[in-house]
Parts: sequence; structure tokens; C-alpha cells
Amino acid sequence: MIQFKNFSFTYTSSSKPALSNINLRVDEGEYVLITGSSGSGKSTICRCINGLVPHFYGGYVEGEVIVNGLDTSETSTAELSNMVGMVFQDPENQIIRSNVESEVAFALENKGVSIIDMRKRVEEALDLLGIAHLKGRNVDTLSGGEKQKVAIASVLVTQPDILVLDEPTSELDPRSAEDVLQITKMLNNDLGLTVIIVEHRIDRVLQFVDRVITLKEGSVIYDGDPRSWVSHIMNNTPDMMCTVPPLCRLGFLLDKKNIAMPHPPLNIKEARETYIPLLKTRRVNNYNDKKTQRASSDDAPIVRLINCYYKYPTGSIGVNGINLDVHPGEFVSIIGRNASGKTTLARLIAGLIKPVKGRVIVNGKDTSYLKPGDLAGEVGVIFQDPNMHLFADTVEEEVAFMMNNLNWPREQIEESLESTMRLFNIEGLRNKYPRMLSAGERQRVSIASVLAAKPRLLVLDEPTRGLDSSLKYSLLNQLSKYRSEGGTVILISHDVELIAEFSERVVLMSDGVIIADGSKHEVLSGSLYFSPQINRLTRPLSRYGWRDDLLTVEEVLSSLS
Amino acid sequence: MMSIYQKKDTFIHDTHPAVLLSWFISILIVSLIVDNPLYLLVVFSTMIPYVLLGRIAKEWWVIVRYVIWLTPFVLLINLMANQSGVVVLLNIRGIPVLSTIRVTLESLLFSFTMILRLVCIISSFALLSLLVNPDALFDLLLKLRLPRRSILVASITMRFIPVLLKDAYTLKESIQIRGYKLASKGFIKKIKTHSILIMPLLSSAIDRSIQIAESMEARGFSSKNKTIYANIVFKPVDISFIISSFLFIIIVIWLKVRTTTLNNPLLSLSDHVSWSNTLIYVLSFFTLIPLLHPVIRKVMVD
Repeated sequence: MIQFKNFSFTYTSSSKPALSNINLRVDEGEYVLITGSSGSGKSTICRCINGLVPHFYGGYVEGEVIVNGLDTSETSTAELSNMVGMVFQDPENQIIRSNVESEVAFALENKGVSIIDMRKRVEEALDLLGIAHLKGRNVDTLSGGEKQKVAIASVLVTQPDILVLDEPTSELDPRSAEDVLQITKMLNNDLGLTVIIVEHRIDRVLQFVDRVITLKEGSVIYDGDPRSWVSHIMNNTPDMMCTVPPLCRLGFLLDKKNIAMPHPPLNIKEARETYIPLLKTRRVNNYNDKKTQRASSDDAPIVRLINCYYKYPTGSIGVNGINLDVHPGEFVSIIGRNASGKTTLARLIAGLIKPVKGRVIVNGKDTSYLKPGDLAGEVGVIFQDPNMHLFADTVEEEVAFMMNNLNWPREQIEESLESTMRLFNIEGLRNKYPRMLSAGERQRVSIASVLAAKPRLLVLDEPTRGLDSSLKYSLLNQLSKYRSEGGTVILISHDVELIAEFSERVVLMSDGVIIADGSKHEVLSGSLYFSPQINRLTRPLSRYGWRDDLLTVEEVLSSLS
Repeated sequence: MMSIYQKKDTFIHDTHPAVLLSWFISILIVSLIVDNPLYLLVVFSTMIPYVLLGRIAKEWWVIVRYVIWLTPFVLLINLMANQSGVVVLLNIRGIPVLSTIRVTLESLLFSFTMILRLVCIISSFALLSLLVNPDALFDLLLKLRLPRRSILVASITMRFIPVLLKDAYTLKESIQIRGYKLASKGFIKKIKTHSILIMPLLSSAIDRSIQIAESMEARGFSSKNKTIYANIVFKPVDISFIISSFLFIIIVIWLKVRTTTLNNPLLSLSDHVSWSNTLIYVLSFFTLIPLLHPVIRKVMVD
């Protein structure tokens, strides 16, 4: 169905090929996962299938891509769009019309389908995705998950043979992500659609796929079934071990402890069937002393929210009577579904908005009496999109920007500049234009530009969105270093696997209210949506003397005698 | 915060988009061709019921208040540019280049008229964007066989205004928390300090536009022989309301050509009882007719 023959592609703006000598064949009805680090060519390969490369982007092409017998270089994107539907990363930037119904019909209008057929097909597409109730809604009123489902409906409406999804869940909370991925599997199973998906959160998708293709610097370095992929990574590329879902990683590490694993499980059910019989008879350590303790509460809190309310000018409630203390040196993660008030909470702490009722005290100062920016130097904020931090012409100027604004002495600026650039490994980029860097580099520069001014508190709003696993782990390791130097971290994230590994305390929010606040073990274990894979797996082991709040692979391993 | 269309449960929001569009065109044309401040005041006052009954007073004011900022500039430029008139109120001497400025009653009235005109135009645009669903409006324009590409560009622009405003707000917060002081007072100072936001905002807008273009292309936008999904039905009652709006425009244009009432502010002020003036005031209430549309349509269609 799809065939890449000795295919290479170089963008006009680059001298280095984005794809190099690709030879691939995807058969009808396959569900294929494409993985690889940022900048490895995953998105480019997707755009080759529907002809956006080379028709939309231009560039130098060698070899050919054949889709349903047509050479994409010689076939227009309009014609290819009859066979290939593509869903992009950000639902906000792919929806063209304001109304759900018009949006779904857009592709049909372009194809000149009659109005009677259009009505029928729009209804079918909405029903197929279970979003018929959204038909008359304005897209601005939809949640991220609903928007992404509308985006999928708007490509399925043309009844393509191939569905290409480029990181479709990176903007979504766990529940919405799960919904979207279930739909892709249903389309693959029930309609026989060929699905090609690019996804960084491999733990979410590995159970659905028939095949994994890994790219590195524009070349295919692995192509095979998911179980062999796990074995390949664990055996041959230990530096990429963090990309392997915890369930599969556990099997390999148990194997090293002489607990033989027949094959890596791909979902919780398989993992239970495989691991529970092997682990239930094992003797376990006295593990209570391993429970994470909250940071000392003897110190005065660096952040204190007292009965805090915030209402947006539109009338929607941001936070609704929140009480929260964060002590120096803590690593607090805030989780919750989209629009639960997490970002509002972060903005209140940063003094960017003021509570309509109650008090927010940061570092001993009541933010109600401060202007936006008065907490600069004491509180650092990292927003979701690194582009929102990039104002200067060079990386060096960007990192020094905050220190210059705070009128630091020249020598102190230079000293902090050099040490921060070293810490974030961006010394080689110092003269580059920040907006031209790769996603991972931009994220590093944006965090460096805040941390260089050594704030006592760092608030990060979904900083790992769209980053591959190795970049995520690198970022979290840098945050750990910052904490070891006395910093306090408040992290907003949907990535429970990452939180389970790095955080100490977790706050769960819903509808502007804190509904759980405790150690990560207390909050994440036993949760239906917010518990990590390992916890879901090991809960039945509690009947055999195991702790019921294990969250990470390391905790399972250290529980074994 | 920029005001955008939000569907509200009012009968004004149920008005046929073509009726509201023709009403908007009539207000716009009349505001542009009439020079009589009293008449412009009446036209402006006929918009108030739409604001109140549509429950959009807050959003409407967010847009219209910008005229307050423009008022001193309009007044000053008109007083400097238009020094004709016989009733001299003030002579300001010793002004560089211009030497002397004569402030006359006529030029003052002219400036006042210009401000009123601006208020009427901005208010009518605000009402159109707050009362008519942009998709319904663009579907209507497509139905009228206006160029599809241009309409779609306008539609996407409308959709992305709030998104870009949100970006601008985040950039502002991001720079403030990094210790950069954005001036809140002084026009020049404000422009100078806020200019740092332009490049990131532009870059973000370009990124978004590329992604949108990609999404359109991937859904076959470059195909030929397109069809229109929108199903906008015109009942005789809708057409009669549209005709009434255009009839109103024709009468006002005729009066503009045939009489002096609409042209000379001073003359009209001293000539309140003329037949044309009375007709104008009566006619101005034509602009309230679309308020009846949803009710009449419901009665007639049911």
C-alpha cells in the first residue's frame, strides 16, 4: 500500500537530508508506530505519504514514494487526500472552520461532493467517532480531546484508506489521549484502515501496534514487531532504555535478577498474566522505610495559598477555594484533566494574576500588593510552549536576558551565564537564533534562561509536552540538580510515569479544587486514570504481601529480597 | 480581552444572517454618506436595542470604547485640516508651520460629526461580529458566490484573532516574570516597551499559518470544482426584510442627492422642521425593523 524506494529528502533550508535512503513497505491494514528522537525525520516521513513533501514544502527528492500505486511526487496532494487522511499534533492549528459540522464537511466541499452525500457522510463520520452530540457546537467551546476527535472525523469523512497521525495525543490529558488512541485502534480493527502514528508516549500506544519503525537522523534503524523492538532497545541501545514503557522495562530488569521472562508484555493484562505468577511467590523486603517522605514542614512555606478564589472575566471559575502550602526544597507535581485549574494555580503563584478572594503569599509577600513581574528573580515560570520564552537574537542574550532585567552586576551575569549554559549543554549554540533551534534545544534554552537568574521557586507548566523520552529525562535530571542546590519545583504535567519517578508530592485538581494532596504514593496509587503502569500491574500483588503503592520499576526491583 | 461571537439564547441571535448582514450594510452606508450629526446620533441610538436585547453590552463596549482613545486625534486633525466656516470661536497663534489655527463652529461641528460617524461604523462592526455566527456569515457569502479563497482567509483570520491574543497575553506574562518592565502609562513609552513582543508574536502567527495551510492542503483544498455544504434557506419573509434594508439605503441616497439636509450640519441644525428632515428621522427607525424578523419569521413559517 505504501512503499518508500531508496527515498531521500532534503529541505531547501537545510544542507543535511531530513530522510536518507529510506526503504519501507507498509501493507494494507497495518498499525505502524514511528518512533525516534526529536528531529529524526518522523514528521517528514508522514508528510511524504500524503504528498505535503515535496509539493507543499519543496526540497530535493531522490527515489520514490508509492501510495496505492501512485508516485507521490507526480500526484497532487488533492488527489492523495482521497487516499490519505492526516491528523496533526495541535488540534488548534488544524481546525479551519468555527463550527464542528462545517469543519467536518470541509474536505468534502473541496472534493465537490454533492450536498446530499455530504450530509450523509458528515453524520456517519460524527457517529463513527461518537461525537454526534458536538455537531452544532462552536469549536472554541470544545476540550482538547473533543477537538482532536473532530480533526479525526474531518479526515475520515473522505473515507481514506490510510490514516496518518503525527503526535495526536501530545496536547491531551491521559483520558482524552486514551479515547483518541482507542478510536484509532477501532478504525484499524473494524474498518481495516492502515494507521501510521508518530507518538512519543510509547507506553500509551505500544499495545495497539503491529509494527514499530525507529528513525535516527533520517534513517531507519529498526523495523519490526513491538516485542522485538523492546528486546532490541533493551539489548542494543541502553541509552534509549527510557523510551521503553515501564511494563516492558520491568521484564528485562527482572530477567537480569534471574526471574525469567518469556516475552515482553505490551499491556497491563498481559503483564499481569506474565508477572503476577512469577512475583507472588517471591519474598519481599521490608519496604516501608522506602516510602517517600514529604520535605520538612518545619521551614516556613515558600508558597501559601489561603482560601483562594479566581474567576476569569468570562465568568468561568479558575480556582475555587484552594488552600496549599509548598515548603522550600519540595518537588510538587500538579495533575488533573484539562481545564481543571492547574495553569490558573501556576499563574496565581507567579503573581501574574491576583485572587478575587483569599491570599497568595510567595516568599513572604502577598501577591495582591505586587505588580506582575515583581516576583521576577524569586519565582521562575516555564510555560508549555518554549517559543513563549524566546525574545532575544542569540541564545547567549536569551540566557542573560532576565539577569540584565534584574540589573545584576556584569561579572555575576557572566559567571551565571557560563555555568548555566554548561549545565544545559547549550554552549555550542550561544550565537544561534533561538527560534531556529530544534524543539529540545529550544526547551533547554527556555529553562536555562529562567534558571540562570537562580529563582528560589520554579513553576513549570507542562514543560515535557512534545519532547521525546530522552529529552524528558534529561530535563527532569536537570530539575533534580536544581533542587539539590536548594530550589523548589512545582511541576504541572499529564505525564504520570515521569511524575512517579521524579516527584515527591502530588496535588490532584478538578474543577478548580484540590481533591487530593499527598505523597506521590498516596495520590497516584489506586487511581483509575492517574496511576502509572507499574501501579496498575502490581496492585494485585498486595494480596501476597507486596506494597500496594509501588509506582516505578526501581521500586518493584528494590522490593524483591 | 477581545470580544468574539458567542451563541446566546436571545431572539436576536436567531435572526437570519442575511437580514443582519443587510442591516449592517445599511447602517454602514448611511453612516458614511450622512454628514448631519443629529441624524448620526439617531442612527447610533437605533443600535442600542440590538446591544441590550442581544445581551452583548459588555462585549460591545469592549470594542466601542476604543473610539474614546481616537477622539482627541480625530478632533485635533480635523480642527487643523478644516479651517473653513464663518463663526470663529478661537484663534490660536504662533503655532510652528501652521502659524495660526482658526477654530470655527463649522469645523468643530464637522469634527464632532466625524467622531459620531466613527462610533456608528465601529459599533455596527461590533454588532455584526457579536450577533452573527462567523461560519453562518461566511457560508452566506459563499452562497452569494463571492470568492471562496478570500472568504476563507477572512474566516480563518476571525478564528485566529482570539488565539493570537492569547499568545500575546502569554508572551506578556512570560516577559514580565523575567523582570522586563512593560510600561503601562505614556503612549510612546508603551509602544517602545511593548515592541519586544512583535517578533515572537509574528513568529508564532507564521508558525500557526503554516500549520493551517498544511492542514488545508492535506484535505484537498487545492482541488477544483468545489461544492458548498452550507444550507442557508431564504423564506419570503427573509427576503422582504432584506429588501426593506436596501430600500432604506436607496431613500437615504436619494435624499442625500436631492436635499441639503444630510449634507450641511449647520443648515440642518437650523432647519429641523423641513419635510426632508422629518422624513429622515422617521426613516431612521427602519433600522429597528430587523428586530421583528425572528418573531415574524416564526409566526409565518409555523
